[in-house]
Amino acid sequence: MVRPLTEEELKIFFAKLAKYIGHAIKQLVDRPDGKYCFRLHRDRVYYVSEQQVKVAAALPREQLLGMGCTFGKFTKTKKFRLHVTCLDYIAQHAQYKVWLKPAAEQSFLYGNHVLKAGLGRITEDTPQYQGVVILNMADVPLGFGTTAKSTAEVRKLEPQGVVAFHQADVGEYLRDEETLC
Amino acid sequence: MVARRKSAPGMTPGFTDSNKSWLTPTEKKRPLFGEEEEEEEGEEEMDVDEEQLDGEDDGEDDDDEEEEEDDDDDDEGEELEFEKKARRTVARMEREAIENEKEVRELQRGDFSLPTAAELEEEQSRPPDISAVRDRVKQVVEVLSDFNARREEGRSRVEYISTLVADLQTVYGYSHDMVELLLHLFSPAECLQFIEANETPRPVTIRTNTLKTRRRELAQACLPPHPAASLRPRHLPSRTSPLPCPRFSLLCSSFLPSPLPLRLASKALIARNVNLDPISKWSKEGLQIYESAVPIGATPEYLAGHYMIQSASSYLPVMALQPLPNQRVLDMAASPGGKTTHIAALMGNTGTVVANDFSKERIKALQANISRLGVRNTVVVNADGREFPKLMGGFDRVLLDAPCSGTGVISKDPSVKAEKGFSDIQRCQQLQRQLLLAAIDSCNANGDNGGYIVYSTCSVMVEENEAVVDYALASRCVKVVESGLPFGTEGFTRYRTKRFHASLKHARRFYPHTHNLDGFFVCRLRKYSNDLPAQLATKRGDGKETAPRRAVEEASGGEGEEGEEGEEEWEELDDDEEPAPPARREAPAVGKAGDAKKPSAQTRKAAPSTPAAVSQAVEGEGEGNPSMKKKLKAAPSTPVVVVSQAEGGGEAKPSMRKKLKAAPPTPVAVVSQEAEGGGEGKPSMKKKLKAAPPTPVAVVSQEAEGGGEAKPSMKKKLKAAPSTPVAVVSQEAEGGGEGKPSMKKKLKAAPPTPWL
Repeated sequence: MVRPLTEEELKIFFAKLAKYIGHAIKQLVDRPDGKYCFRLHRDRVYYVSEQQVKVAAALPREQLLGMGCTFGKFTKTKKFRLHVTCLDYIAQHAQYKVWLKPAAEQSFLYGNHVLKAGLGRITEDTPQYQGVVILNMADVPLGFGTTAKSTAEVRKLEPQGVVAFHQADVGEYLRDEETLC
Repeated sequence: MVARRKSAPGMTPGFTDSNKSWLTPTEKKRPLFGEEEEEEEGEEEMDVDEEQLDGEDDGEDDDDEEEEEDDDDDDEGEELEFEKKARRTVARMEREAIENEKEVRELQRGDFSLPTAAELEEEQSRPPDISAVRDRVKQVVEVLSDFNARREEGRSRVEYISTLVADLQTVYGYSHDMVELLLHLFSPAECLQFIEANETPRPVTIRTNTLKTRRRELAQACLPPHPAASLRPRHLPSRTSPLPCPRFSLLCSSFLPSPLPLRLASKALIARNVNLDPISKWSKEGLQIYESAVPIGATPEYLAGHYMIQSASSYLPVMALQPLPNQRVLDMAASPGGKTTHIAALMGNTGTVVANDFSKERIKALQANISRLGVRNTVVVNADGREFPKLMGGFDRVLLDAPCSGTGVISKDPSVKAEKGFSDIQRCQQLQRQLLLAAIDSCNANGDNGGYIVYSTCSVMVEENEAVVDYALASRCVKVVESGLPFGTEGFTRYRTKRFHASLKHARRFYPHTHNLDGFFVCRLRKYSNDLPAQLATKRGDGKETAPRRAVEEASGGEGEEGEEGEEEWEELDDDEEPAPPARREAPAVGKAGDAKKPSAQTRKAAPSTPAAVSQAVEGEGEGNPSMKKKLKAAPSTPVVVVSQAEGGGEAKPSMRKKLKAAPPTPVAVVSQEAEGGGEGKPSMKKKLKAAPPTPVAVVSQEAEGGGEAKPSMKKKLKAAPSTPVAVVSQEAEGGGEGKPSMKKKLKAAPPTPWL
């Protein structure tokens, strides 16, 4: 059955999401352009408009494979894992960003961490272990991760030091097509 | 030149000297056949003197000198030097081309002779000499294109064709079935073109994802990010770039004023050394890739969902579908999502797109593409398309890109040409029919601006395209409408022995050799009623219990799928699983004089197993005999058979007209007598109708007197007919209006038609 998330699930999910977009979660839930909501189906969290929820509700559970935008899934241990499929929303609302030099794009898209050498820009005052969206210099979002160091520390970092840990990147559309959605 | 020499003496027999008395050769002119050959190159040059100056060498090497001299001599001086040169070159080339062609023709005519059976056998024992066979293919095709003139004495067309079939198999690796099918579809010359076009790949094209970027930006040269770019939220619309030039590859280096107010959401593909161009005028989203230094399916732009790699032909069904914002759209066979995402993009991510696919494996690719391209209005379902109406209905638009034999995409998947055969095509057709009916059933005819179904396949076979649509026309309340595509060849309305509904000309076909697209078929259907044709007929019948209606009910009771449809005036009866090709009154082919033979052929075919609606035009100009009138009167609100005739002819008696008018808008089966000229319902007509095989129609028009009581015998017949799609029996279209007695026989004699 497609169902709304329980209180507990919402807590875990929002806690994760807030690492990247902070209070902007509110903007996801209260949208001016229609009613949108989060729905759980087969351990996956979907961000869907009411319109599609209605359509999906009419379908048999086994045959419904997806709807709207997949945000991620709950693991068996009830942790939440964000998928790269929600990148657009994260990129739109993220407070902290990391830009990659063109030369470092490819490496990141293969699933590697962001090194100081490949760092183009970084938002001022980014704290350590903060969820960030990672873009290339043309502002195309490529994925997201968490910072390994705060902005101040990054300045002092040696070229091979890790700036941000890789969590998800758009290369997964090719690498992990099977498990993504 | 050889040709010329030959032709000169050849002309003499036809040459008479009768005008010698007054016709004298001018002295200035050169002798007709002497020097000409030497000076051929310069023959048509303007200046004879100048021509003679360098008449001896006459080669291209001193063209320049020629020019200069030419210039000096030129008094007018109006033409520039290069213009003259160009004109001369063009003229020379034309002449040469004509001559070459002549020579080639003559050589061919002289040389080519079809190998005998013994030679062929001998040839088969050796390994095939591909290039020789290839030449032979060309020559046979040449001969076949002008068979009467070029044939070898005593060899029949069949021999040529069978050699061609065998040779095409050897050279291009097609299966026998495939070659046969293609030769049915095309003329030999066109078939060869098609096959050769399949040997070369189609250009790689990408479709810009308008949800995330615009074509120009995708193709745009990479600029240093504008200071404002990073500050502007991604999803705010930005101003369009003022660049006037569409040729992006030219743009990349030179012309770019630096602070362009572009949203640089996409880094340029050109910056990645991709050479591309807009696809053509008909698509605003397509880009054609000429060459690329990077794999086009793995650039960051691709991964970020700025474009989809998609063949140009697959834009067409979506363009024909014309989805509007906030509609409910169903894509019945959606994987891998190229069309689904295109639909969503056209709808601007509003409304709902239900993307269905039968294969769970393929759905993974579909889902990945949907997410990658940022499409949020889809619901992905894994169901059997044939069962889909049971799950959900009420869609405004339905796209069915049916699974097919893939004969249009042989260049992509060459295994098709060797592996597919008649049976595969037939199997596909069966599935396609079921899917199309399911697609139509999922569609809601009554919605605002809704009720459109687009059927498309990547096959060129008529069996999988027109035949399938024609079947749907007979069993559902749909009609073919203009597809709204700016190009493409018309669909077939006649193919070998089959005759399809005339409106199928609105369908569009695309071929590799004519359009440089994959072979494709697109047909746009409009559903005008949610009822089955049978139900519609009953509804219009005002609930009066009349014989024809009972007949209809009985007939359509067995199967839900086939029904009788009164209002659109075509019906079909079907007494086994295989539906007979329906013919319809509506079809101009039936009513029009020019197509006289077609309907009758069909009629005969359809007759025995399919009761017929006897067709004619309904303009009310029919001239009925008195008895006829009565009958029409008698069956007021039932499926009524109107006997009338087509444009040309018969003046209806006023009384008749009235009656026709008076008849309430009921499902009307029309008895057509003829289209032109004749058509007075003579007494003989009655007989004929009687004679016509068991049709509800016949009942109405003839025996249904007094509220449609059929004669017992008739009733029986009707009962015997299980389901009702009714084929139209048009009696004849041209001239001879009166159904001749022989007609009767014909109808009876016609064998049941196997319908591929």
